[in-house]
Amino acid sequence: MKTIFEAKLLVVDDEPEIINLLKTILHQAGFAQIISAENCRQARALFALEKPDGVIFDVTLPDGDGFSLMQELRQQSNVPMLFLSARDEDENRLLGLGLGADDYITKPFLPRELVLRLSGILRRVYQPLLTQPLPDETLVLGAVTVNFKSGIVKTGDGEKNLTAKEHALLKKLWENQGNIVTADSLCRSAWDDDLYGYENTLMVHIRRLREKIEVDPSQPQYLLTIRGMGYKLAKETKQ
Amino acid sequence: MKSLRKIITRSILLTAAIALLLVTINMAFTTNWMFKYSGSQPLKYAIADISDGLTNTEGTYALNPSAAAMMEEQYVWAMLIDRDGQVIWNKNLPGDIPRQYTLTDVASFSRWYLNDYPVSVWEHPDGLLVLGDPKSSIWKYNITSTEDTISHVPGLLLGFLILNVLSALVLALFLGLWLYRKLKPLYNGITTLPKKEPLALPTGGVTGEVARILNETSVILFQQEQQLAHRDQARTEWIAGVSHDIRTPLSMVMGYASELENNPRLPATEQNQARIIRQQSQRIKSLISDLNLASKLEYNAQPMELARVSPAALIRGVAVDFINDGLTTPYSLAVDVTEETNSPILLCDQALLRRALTNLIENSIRHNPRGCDIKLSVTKSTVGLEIKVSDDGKGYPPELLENSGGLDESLLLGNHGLGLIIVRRIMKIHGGSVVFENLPHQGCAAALVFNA
Repeated sequence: MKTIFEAKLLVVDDEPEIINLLKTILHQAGFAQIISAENCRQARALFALEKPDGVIFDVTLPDGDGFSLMQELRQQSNVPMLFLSARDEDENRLLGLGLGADDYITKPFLPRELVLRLSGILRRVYQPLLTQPLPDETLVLGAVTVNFKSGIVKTGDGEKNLTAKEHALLKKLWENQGNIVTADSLCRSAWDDDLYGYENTLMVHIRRLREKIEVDPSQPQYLLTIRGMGYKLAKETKQ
Repeated sequence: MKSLRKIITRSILLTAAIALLLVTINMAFTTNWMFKYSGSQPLKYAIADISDGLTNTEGTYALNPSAAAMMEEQYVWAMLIDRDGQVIWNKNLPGDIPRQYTLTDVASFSRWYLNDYPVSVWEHPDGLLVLGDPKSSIWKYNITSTEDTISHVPGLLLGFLILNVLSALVLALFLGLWLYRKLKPLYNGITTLPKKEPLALPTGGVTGEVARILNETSVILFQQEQQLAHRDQARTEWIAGVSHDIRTPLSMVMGYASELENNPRLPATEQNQARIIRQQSQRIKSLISDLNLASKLEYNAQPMELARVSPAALIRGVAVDFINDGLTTPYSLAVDVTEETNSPILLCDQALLRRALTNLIENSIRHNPRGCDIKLSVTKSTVGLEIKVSDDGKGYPPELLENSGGLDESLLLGNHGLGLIIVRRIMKIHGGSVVFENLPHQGCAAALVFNA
């Protein structure tokens, strides 16, 4: 499979209008091969015959429910499967995901959201290398480069090693670069515990991190404090 | 149980008081009657006066006028018997009265009757004066008693009184206990009525009818409770069903509007119209899910996942989500917490509380289109824990504040959507409350109050 758009998709929904809508949306997005089934029986037959690369299920089907159907097909295949359901209760969502679905989208849905989520899953499964941001997991902050694989920070002056906790904290911030990360989430990443009792420890670790990655640790440019909430790793400013 | 005991004690005391009162009244009445009608005392003087008024002047007896008047007043007839038993004087003597008497006759009539006439006798210098009353006007009975007996009369009377009082008390006590035992099951039945469970009180005895009615009432209450629960469940399911059914057609509206919105072949005006359709269908979507949640919260169909969380972490998380989702100027969001609220001191359903806080922040944003500074804070006191969402915007309309504590949810609905109703119901199932207020200078605050 060169691109995810070559993937053959099976849509299972008892409403023909929804099937038409999905076909329109997915065609528009570039997916060429879309097959559909209106009930469990048809879905089983098509799944065995056509061997689709991805399946979108409705939960309410005339001859059974999407949950059991998905469970049944999951035993035969590991292709991406996602639910598109009018049931929005958390328990249903969790049930679907718990059964091994790759995503659970509720109706009504935005076409773009569906396409983005579906593409994301297909890409992760069929083109895993392309989804990695950088093969060697490197963060570049101005003149400073952080390699998460080796845990080494390279600056103009030389190299420094990140401790395990600094590594965990910086990685969490990097995964959410540009967004605020609460002190609570940082604590869970580094100590696997609640913030309570770690407030000062966290501040100490952040200060040491700044000493390693900031040019002027007292005037941080990247690792910013967001008062009352947490910290943010600023996106690299394009100069 | 305490109040039943009180009722019974009072009724015993009251019964005893009534019995004592009756004894007293009876004694007073008897004494009074005895003084008033024992009656012979003044008569004795009268008969003596009459006797004195009967004088013998030269062999002829005459009654002086005052004695005659007295006699006329009190007696029907009179006669004077001499020592030989001959009637020597009479006045109005009826024909059936003999004119001569033996000693035996005298002894007899002086105690009893003379030819059925009740008579009184008095000693006269010349014999015996006999005065007669009309037939059947006086009842005569002679009492003979030993000295010993008479001397015991005061003691007997006292004993009689004490016996009366004691038996009144014992009877009252017995009656009270009897009532207590009869009323106890009824009392227990009535106190368990609010639990709305069917009762099975014994329906025999004096209180049987009341017990039967209580049993029937309890069954009716139980059935009503079940019907209400059933109706609540049906309503929740109905709303869930309707919102489920709306989602499919709404998917079509939203999907195709979104496609049109992004169709480059359409002119900008049409694309914009398609955008409005898409946005409005998204609003319908959130309204449906709000309606569903609100109905589940109201009828306890929303499962609660309680856990101990840090209230500070909770509001930080909510605030950061808003900022990361792109909340920028003219809005700002600040968090103010005390250190102790970093500890996991709040038992709650985290997802529901996040929902409540999100609704309040969205409310501030929606009602202040020109922007506002929103502040989230949490404080802990002896009263409990309070999470506050405040802003410096235009504040709540006064009618909402006046009624926010009341049962009328229509004002909360207003143009606030279901957001504030959901907040209130979320706090209700947490056993807390929400207090809306306008701040003195500008803006408003909603406080989620968790009682300690």
